[in-house]
Amino acid sequence: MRTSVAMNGSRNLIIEKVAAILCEERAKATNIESVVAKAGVDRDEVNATFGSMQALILEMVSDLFESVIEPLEDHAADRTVRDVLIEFGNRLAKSYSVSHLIALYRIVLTEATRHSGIGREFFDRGPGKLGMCLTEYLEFAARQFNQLQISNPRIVADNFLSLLGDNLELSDAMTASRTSSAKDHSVAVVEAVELLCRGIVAKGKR
Amino acid sequence: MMALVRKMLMRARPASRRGLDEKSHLAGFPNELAMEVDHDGSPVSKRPSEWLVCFVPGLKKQWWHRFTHPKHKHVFALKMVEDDQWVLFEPWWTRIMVTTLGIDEAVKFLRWGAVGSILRVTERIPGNGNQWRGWSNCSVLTSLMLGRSYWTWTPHGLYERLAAEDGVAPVELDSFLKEKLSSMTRRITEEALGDITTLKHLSPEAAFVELGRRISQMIFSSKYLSLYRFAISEAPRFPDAAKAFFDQGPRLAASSVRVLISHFFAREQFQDCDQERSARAFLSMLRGNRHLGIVMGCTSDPDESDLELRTKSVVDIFLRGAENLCGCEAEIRECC
Repeated sequence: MRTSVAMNGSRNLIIEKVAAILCEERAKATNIESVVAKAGVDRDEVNATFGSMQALILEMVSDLFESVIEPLEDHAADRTVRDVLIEFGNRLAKSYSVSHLIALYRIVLTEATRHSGIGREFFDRGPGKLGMCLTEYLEFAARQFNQLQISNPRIVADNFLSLLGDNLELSDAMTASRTSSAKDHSVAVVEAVELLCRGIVAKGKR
Repeated sequence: MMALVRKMLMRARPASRRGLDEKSHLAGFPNELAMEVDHDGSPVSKRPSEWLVCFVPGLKKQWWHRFTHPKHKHVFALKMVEDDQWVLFEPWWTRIMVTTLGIDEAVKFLRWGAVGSILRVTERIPGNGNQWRGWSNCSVLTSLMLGRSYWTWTPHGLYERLAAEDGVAPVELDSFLKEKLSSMTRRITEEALGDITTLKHLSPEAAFVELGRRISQMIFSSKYLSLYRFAISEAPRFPDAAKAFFDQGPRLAASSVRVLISHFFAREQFQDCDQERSARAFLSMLRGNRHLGIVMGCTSDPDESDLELRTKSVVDIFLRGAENLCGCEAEIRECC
């Protein structure tokens, strides 16, 4: 029991230290080994705790997305689809803007060029999982509000995630130190929800 | 089979230097495989290519490194054959690696090259090298590949010889990549987008489906995906090249989308909105998770019918939204 608690403590400490460096590096980070070294974490410790450097990346993305998908799992009857999408969107936008997610994304994309095999697992635990959870939520919403007809929940989910990740790589590739206020993000999320729900065509012209 | 063909051609070489358009008649060779050879005895006439010859320090410590130049311990060569295709020629201790690479892969070798020195060298055809002196290490084989005689067995010796030649120029990788990325991406984008003005005569739906189709075909093409991977993963090292890609690729595409949004807004068919953000949103929707899956190497490229369906559904949501998605729960509750 004590060993398991100690292991968990060590796991969280490593993730915390590596995440702090990734947040600093953001667009500059393309290699997990150098980030781990900068964090002052011993390579053997990472291997002993996670099994490998790749496993560390996967654990980190799983941890991050666990909290992002929470609003989709809250099936309270008094919440509208719009409420849920906005809360989910705000959490995801916050992850994109202030967390180490961008740096992880960049590292995995660079690794994928080397055909190291991490891309698929990262996608399944990260963006793929988000898409799946959002699709499941929309299917649930369609069932709950009997007449709420969503013709293809998977496509709607995919489009909403794309809107939230709007030009993510572009902005971060160009300006590594770019930061935007939480207000900017919440406005962008509301706009994304509005576009998803209403589209761009003027009323009366549909 | 190819090895046999080459062997037969090599044997026929002295007899084949007879000028263009002559048939090479090889004993025992099937007639259907008899081919025309040029004055160099080659079945195809090629113009001399330009190679980027990279003189580099070792990636792993080797015992002989102490006897060599600090930065020129190994040599290999790369050449660009298409916008996104590079040929790598790298003599190893155990083999000669000759392979094709995308720009995202080639840049790894170029970065290694930039740690040492890179020379732009034109090969010679048919060349004046020979193999009498034997002992073919990487310098010797690279000399031979370039069609030079080899009087030196060290990479640095070859570097000095090539660098002293007329017409050989050192390569600054940053500006080289910036120029290449800019011209390649602009050409790909302009070819894909075509003439946008004709789309203004269509209905909003038809115009956006057509523009969406053009953009989707571009962003899911292997050339563009390779450039995209390059721009993302190498942006910290080659910011100017990455910026050139984003300026000539996504930004150019977004400005075309903006032209259409602005046109339909002027005709009061679209709501008042942040046109730049809406244009980026449309591009983002066209990319979707599918694009991310492909660049991460876990999803296959979509085929044409798949792209068509995706584009139509994106346009549908972009123009009219996902019908009944938001705001009707209250009415539904009241009904129930």
